[in-house]
Amino acid sequence: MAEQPIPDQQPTPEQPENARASSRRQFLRRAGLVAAVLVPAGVAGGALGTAAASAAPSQEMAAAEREALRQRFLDEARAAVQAAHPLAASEQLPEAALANLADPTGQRAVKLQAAVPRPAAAPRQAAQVAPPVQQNVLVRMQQDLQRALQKPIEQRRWAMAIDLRKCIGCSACTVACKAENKLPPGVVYRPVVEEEVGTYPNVSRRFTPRPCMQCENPPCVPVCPVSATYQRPDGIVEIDYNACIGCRYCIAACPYGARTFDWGENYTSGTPRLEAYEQKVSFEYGQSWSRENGQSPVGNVRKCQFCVHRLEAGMLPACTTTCVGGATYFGDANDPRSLVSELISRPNTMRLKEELGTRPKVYYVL
Amino acid sequence: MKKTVYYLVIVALSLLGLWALWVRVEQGMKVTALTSYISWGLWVSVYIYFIGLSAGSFLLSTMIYVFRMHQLERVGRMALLTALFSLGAGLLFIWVDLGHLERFWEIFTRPHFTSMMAIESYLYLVYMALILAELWLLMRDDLATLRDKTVGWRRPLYRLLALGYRTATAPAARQKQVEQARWWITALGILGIPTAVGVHGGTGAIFAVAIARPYWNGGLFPIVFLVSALASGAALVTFLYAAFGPRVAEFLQVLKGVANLTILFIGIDLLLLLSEAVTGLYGGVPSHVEVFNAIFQGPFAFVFWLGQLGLAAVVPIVAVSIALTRQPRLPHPQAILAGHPAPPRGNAPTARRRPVGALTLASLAIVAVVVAGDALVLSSQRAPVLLAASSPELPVLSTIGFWVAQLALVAGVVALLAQRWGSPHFWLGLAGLSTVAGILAVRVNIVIPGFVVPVLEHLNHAYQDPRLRYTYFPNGLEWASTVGLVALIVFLFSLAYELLPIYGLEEKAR
Repeated sequence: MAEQPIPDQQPTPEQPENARASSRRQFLRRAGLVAAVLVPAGVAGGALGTAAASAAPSQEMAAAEREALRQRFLDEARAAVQAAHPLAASEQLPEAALANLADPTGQRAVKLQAAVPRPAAAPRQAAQVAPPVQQNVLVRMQQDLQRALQKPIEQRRWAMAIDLRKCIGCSACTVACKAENKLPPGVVYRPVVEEEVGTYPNVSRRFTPRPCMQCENPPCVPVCPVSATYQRPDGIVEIDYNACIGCRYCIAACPYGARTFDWGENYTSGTPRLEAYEQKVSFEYGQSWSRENGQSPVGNVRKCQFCVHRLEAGMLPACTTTCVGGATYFGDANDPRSLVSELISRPNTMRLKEELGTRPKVYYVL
Repeated sequence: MKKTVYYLVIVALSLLGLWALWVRVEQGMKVTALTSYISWGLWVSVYIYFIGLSAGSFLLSTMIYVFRMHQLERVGRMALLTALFSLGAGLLFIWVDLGHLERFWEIFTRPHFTSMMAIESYLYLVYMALILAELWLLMRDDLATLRDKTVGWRRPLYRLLALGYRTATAPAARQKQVEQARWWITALGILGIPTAVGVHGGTGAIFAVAIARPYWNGGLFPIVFLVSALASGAALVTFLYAAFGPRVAEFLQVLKGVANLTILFIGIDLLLLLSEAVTGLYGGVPSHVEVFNAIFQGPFAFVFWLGQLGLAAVVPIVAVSIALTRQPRLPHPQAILAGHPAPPRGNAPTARRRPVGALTLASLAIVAVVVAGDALVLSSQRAPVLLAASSPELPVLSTIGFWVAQLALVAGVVALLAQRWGSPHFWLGLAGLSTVAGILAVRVNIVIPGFVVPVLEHLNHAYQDPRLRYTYFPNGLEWASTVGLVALIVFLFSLAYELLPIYGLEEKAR
């Protein structure tokens, strides 16, 4: 819950009531308002209560009225949310989220706020809250992940945000992905596209990591002749290696070049010894896959799956945890509190080839 | 003797094909030169080539049995047989291209009706059943006769193929049988038209629906597939009939009919190509322009200029135009029936030498100019630049000019030869063979250019790996398997051609 103090706009007796309200409406930030309406009686309300203990009984009445209004707001909000978001309504939403969903513009809160008579002296102490310590993004994303795993699978919507301003083109994500999924030669899930911008000598470089976009409307899925690739309930596009016949139609259909074929090659074949690291099993899709004797995934099409085997074990994707610059964000886009949904709702994001209507779930922050 | 040599060669090549297939099965897809970025290559091109050949020859057979173009009637069964074996070849090549050969049946056990590839697979089966049914109805009387008259090891074969059918002896019953067969053949032919259009137009749609590939994605593409299918089908029948067709009275007339059709389809195909290229190049959108640049002046530009334009357009058009205007040097049909089946070789005493005409002189001039120009280019330092094609050192027009000159050379040589040498049916057959070979270049230029432009700019440099490149040229094994497996199909076709009554017994006896 927002810990910002209620902006201290004491009405002066000279100003008429409605003018005061309108000036406040212009002045107050929405978060502050929501906080003001939602101040729980037990927490900030308690502080208010003790600070105003010696105040006149009219102020106690005002406090009771505030609480009643708060409840009214919450009830209205619940009803509104239930009408607009049937999925979200099925769980117990925290009050802040409820307010966010029911009152995105803050107008409801403004109305309620305007109706409440303010206490004469707002306590100064409440304003002096230490600025929040910034949490490590990995820890926060880890918490987001844990929270998402609590939900049923069909309510998760895994999404990735890649901050291109932070990407330094080190390709650590490419390598981490190669190691995590034990990828053979010719198979790469997350290459980093490098571009030189400008004309020599006035040049700079730009880097774009390119995982699978996990499209909401994936062009690769309808073309598969054997339904071996499909969208999971959590939005990840999965390949059933045991069903894929290796026709490579999906490679032709993918507008992002995200799919590569496992040709059955090894880095150390043709050398005296096939190294052990090449024979390790990969755990894609939560199963173990051995490439020995040309078994699947040899002869199959392969691609990034957001490390779904790690996700389900409560871990972030390998590219995300390894990213040197912290440029890769990951989480549940269906959770308004998650870091990734904060990032992807900003205006400075884009997705690749949006004109094709594929609706990728990988966002680039610019 | 000739036949023995033919069979020795074809069996040797078939064995090469089987060996290549074994290597492919044993070692997997790594034996190919394909990459993850150019993931369909020679095998897929050959697949759509044979599907096109099949659909084309089937549609040609419907012109006979549905639209009653009787002058082509003699090639009807051959067209259907060609359709059947081409379909088999197409399916063989797409099967070889699968990463997991043993799982092909999943297309039927795990159907996915939104996939053009799955839909096409089901359609291929329907189409195959139609062809088989039509062929059987056309041949059943002859098969029954053969069963009753043949002795030796062929007899059980004909017994099997005749499926217990008996030709009625009573005139009324016989009349009923003939009418029944005719009705069914027409009905199956009518049903076959949408099926064959679906088979090949749909194969085009496999490509045309891919939104990721601007070169393929569009409404014209399935039509291009169909028209070039008709061209290749008609061309194949032209060739087969010219080479093996019985030399009967209407031989040359029938041959001219199918050759004319071939040229018509080639013309429409060229028109569609022009339309695609002009609209694609006009806007300057990189994903469109780069594809056409790769086709017209990329490292494999010769596939377009020599294959697609040379073999599948210039040679047949020039050869057919000249052959149609020349007097037949064939002996009179009565002479054939009198026991002289082969036309006299070389300059028979009866064949007069014609005077040197303007066309001959013009052809000579073109040939001389282009050969001189080529000699000049090859002796200069610019030759490697020009032949390596798309080079910033040279203006676009000089690369294209070079190839246009080579086409003129081809046209000149063909015109010169066709006027002075050989019989019309030789040149018509050659036009057919040349088109059949050239359409393969058309198919290669459908599949591979779709992949040559990186789907994301600079993706080609993002990760260095031999399997992550935007260059592809088929390796030895791909060529060996292609030549060998085609030989295998040709071998089987030859057997069927010898054993089955392709021209009808009555006509043979005539």
